[in-house]
Amino acid sequence: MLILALIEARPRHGYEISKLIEQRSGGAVRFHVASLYPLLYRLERRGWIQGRWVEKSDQRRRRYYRLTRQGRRILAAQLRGWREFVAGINRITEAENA
Amino acid sequence: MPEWKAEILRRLAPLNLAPTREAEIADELSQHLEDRYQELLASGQSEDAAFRAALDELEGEDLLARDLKHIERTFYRDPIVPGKASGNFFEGIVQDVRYAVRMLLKSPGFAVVAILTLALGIGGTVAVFGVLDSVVLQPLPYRHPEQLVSINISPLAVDPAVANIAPEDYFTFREQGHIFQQIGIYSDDHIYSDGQVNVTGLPEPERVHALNATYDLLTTLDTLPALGRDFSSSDDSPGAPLTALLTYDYWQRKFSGDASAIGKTLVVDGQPRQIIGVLPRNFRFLDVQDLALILPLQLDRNKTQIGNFTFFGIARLKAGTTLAQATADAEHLLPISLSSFPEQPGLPRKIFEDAHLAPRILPLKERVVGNVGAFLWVVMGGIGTVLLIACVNVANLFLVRTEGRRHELALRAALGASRRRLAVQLLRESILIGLLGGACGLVLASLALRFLVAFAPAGLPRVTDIGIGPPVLYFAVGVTLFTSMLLGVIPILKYGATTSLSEGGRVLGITRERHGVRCLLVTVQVALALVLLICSGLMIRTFRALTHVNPGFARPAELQTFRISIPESDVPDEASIPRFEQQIQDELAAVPGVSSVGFSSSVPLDGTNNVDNVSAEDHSYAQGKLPPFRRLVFISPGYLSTLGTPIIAGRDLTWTDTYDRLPVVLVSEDFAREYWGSPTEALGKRIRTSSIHNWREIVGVVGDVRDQGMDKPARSAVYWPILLRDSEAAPLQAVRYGTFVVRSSRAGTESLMTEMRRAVWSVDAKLPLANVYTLNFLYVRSLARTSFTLVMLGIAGAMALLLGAIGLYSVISYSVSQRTREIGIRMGLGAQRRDVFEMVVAQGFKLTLIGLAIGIAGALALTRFLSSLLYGVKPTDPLTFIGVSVLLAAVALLACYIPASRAVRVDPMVALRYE
Repeated sequence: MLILALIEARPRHGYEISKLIEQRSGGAVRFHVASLYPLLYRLERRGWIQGRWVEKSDQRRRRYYRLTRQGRRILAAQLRGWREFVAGINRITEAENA
Repeated sequence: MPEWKAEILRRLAPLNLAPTREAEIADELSQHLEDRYQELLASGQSEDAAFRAALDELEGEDLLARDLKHIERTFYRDPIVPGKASGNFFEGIVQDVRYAVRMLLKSPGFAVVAILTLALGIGGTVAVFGVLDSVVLQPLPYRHPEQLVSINISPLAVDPAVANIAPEDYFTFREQGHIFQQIGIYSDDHIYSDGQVNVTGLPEPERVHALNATYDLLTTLDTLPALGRDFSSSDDSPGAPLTALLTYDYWQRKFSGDASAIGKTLVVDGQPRQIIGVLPRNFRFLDVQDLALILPLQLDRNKTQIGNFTFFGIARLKAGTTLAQATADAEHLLPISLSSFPEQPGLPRKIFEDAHLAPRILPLKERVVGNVGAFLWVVMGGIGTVLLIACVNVANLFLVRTEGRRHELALRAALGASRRRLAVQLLRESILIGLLGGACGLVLASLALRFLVAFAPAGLPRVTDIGIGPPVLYFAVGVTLFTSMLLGVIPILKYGATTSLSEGGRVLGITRERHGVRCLLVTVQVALALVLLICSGLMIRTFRALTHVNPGFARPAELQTFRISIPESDVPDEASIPRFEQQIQDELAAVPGVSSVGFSSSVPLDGTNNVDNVSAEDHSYAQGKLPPFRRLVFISPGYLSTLGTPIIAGRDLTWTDTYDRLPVVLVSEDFAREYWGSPTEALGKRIRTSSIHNWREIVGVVGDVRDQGMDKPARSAVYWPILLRDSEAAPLQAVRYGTFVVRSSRAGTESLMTEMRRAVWSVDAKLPLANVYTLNFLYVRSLARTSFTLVMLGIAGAMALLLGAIGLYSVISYSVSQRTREIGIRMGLGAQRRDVFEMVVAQGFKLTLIGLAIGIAGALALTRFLSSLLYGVKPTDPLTFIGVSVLLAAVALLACYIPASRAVRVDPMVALRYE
């Protein structure tokens, strides 16, 4: 879900994804190459994301991943589920604290 | 920069991924590591520390492999990467086919032309093979057909072409033969009948085809009736109650398949016969069409006299015995047979001893198929040649395409595709084209077969069996695969070995070496086309020669013929028969639009074959030697003039000759010339058929008639009155079975036939009319084998010419397009348009001339196989050879003209700008 969310706005390459996860989680969540790429490939196999080699000027070619239509649906579903889950947790914890 | 890839590849190694996928992953991951490494360096770490930190991302030796294993192994399918290494021929077949389909869709023009060309070639070949298979190759539909032989006797010293068997031989072979399991004889076409009988006693009188056979003929073929019982030897004994077997079709037609037909009575030629059985549905007697009845011959062994050679024999050899053994056995038995039976009056035994009787034992299939095989093989050869030319054309297209894809192939080879892999890919493309062509071809073939069957020459045996069966399908698949391989292999041989990038790059000129194969192919094409065209040319000349032959009768389209048979029950007295026939003749002549009418025992080209030895009074024959065979025809007065056969000397027969039984006779011109030098000299001479017969005086000499076909010489003939007594002791003999010939401009119309029937029935209402044909029908039918071969070879020749011209055009035109720059330079340097034009035409013409030379040599070697089909023209006819060569050269010039005129329009500047 994290990865899907990260590439929702625009396609990103693997290193960018791992940096973003690391930065946005404040270093709490970190993917190593050995676990990130198998995950990416798995998502790609499932047809949720699609990788494509892109060659930009003054840069080496990189593989950018973008969200597929199916991936977008999955992400929406997962987000909804996640939000409901969080809301549920919140309601439970708020009730206890109140 | 550190060697990330090596590190990653080492960790990926246990996964054993497809090389391209492995490279891709390594590429992506190493970039990640490089990015990480650069970042760490930028943040001030030492190179060493940064390297180790980056490498940590891979987390140990086996994690990456472990995590990737499920994904890559389970879900990963090879992407389509052309030129990838492959384990065996079938691996990656789906991907190659997909790739091939894509390549073909990219050039639909090429695909359509290639597929259609192949479809034509394969379709034609398969169709003709279908005919060949059904007619010639398929075994006869009896059990152990290889044991079945036709067994006959030929009088070698008299006429080796004659082959019949006589009852005494049947009895001797049956009783004393060591090699024969069984033997039976039959007759379906004897002197006064054409194998047809009148059936009455059912609602309508009808003339149907019947076979007279000994009781063991069917057991020889191992056929049992499907219903009722088979003939027993007692059915076949003289004096036994008359019986009959029905064929399945006749039983269906007349009794609607009712089993109660068994035991009922049919009246066959006025005699009641009991139906004892029905033959199986799939039973066919040799190639006899529309057989209705089989009747026992009832030969009387005790009354058999030697020399009645009017039957045909079929025997089943004992398992494991050969034709040679059977022939030896029969040779040994023939003298025994001759000496064991009494001689016929007037036919001394010595005559047969001197005739050098010899057994002629052939596989039964040969008797059915006859010499048809020869002409079918010729047609097969012709159409096969077209297929070859079509293949060459498509192979040329493939070469051009492969030429254009040299860069692609070289690139793929450079990227690691093995030669084998590229070859397999090329082969699969050609197989795909071949298969599509084959599939279309099969559809074409099934359409063509219907056409072929409809237009097949009359007398083509087993024509009703023709269809697409398993052997034809196997053949079609075989031809398709062969063609596909041929197509694929040529470019592979040409390019498979020389795929390097430097060669595969941009090539603007054209190398002699690369063009060589295509030139060779075109030369072959021209040669093949020439051979085919020469064959068609020879057939055209044959056809012209045949249609210019004087058949001995005039304007056959105006001649209506039909057969009648007068049963004894209607006219018992022989002497009254001619009056009866004259009465019908007069009734027919009174029909409006009829200019003349005649009656005869047979008409030209109707297939009857009534011959006898005829001796002349003033000629001496060596002791015991038989005089030559002459064709015997029994005619009414007016028959010859109706037919348009001229009377060259003397006079026609008259009704007075007939009724008064005057000892007169007519002979054909060549008989007269052979014996007496000129037609007039023959008048007054006397001839007879047997030493016990009376002499008859020749009162007229008539023109020769080609009665067996335009390609066969006219047989010398003797024309007798339709009523005669051979000697004082002999019975009076009239013609009960015969053909009326009516000359009318309305011949062939149904209205005329209606009036004809009415005229006949006004004399005898129970008389059926059979074999209603115009003489022109018989005439055209006699030419059918030639015209069929002509049409087939003509179509094949036209296709060959067209394909050859296209092949030449495409090669020259391609070469011009490849040489545009060279031509530009030449013109820039001052070459005239004329020079360029001549250069291009000369290139094409040189190929044509080489092709023509090879073709002429090939034709000289091959046309002799045609010789059995040729008439009035030699297989090496110079006129045909030269004419066809000139025609082909002219077409070739035309094919070169178009690209040549394009070449002269090359603008030197445009051409040079290619640089």
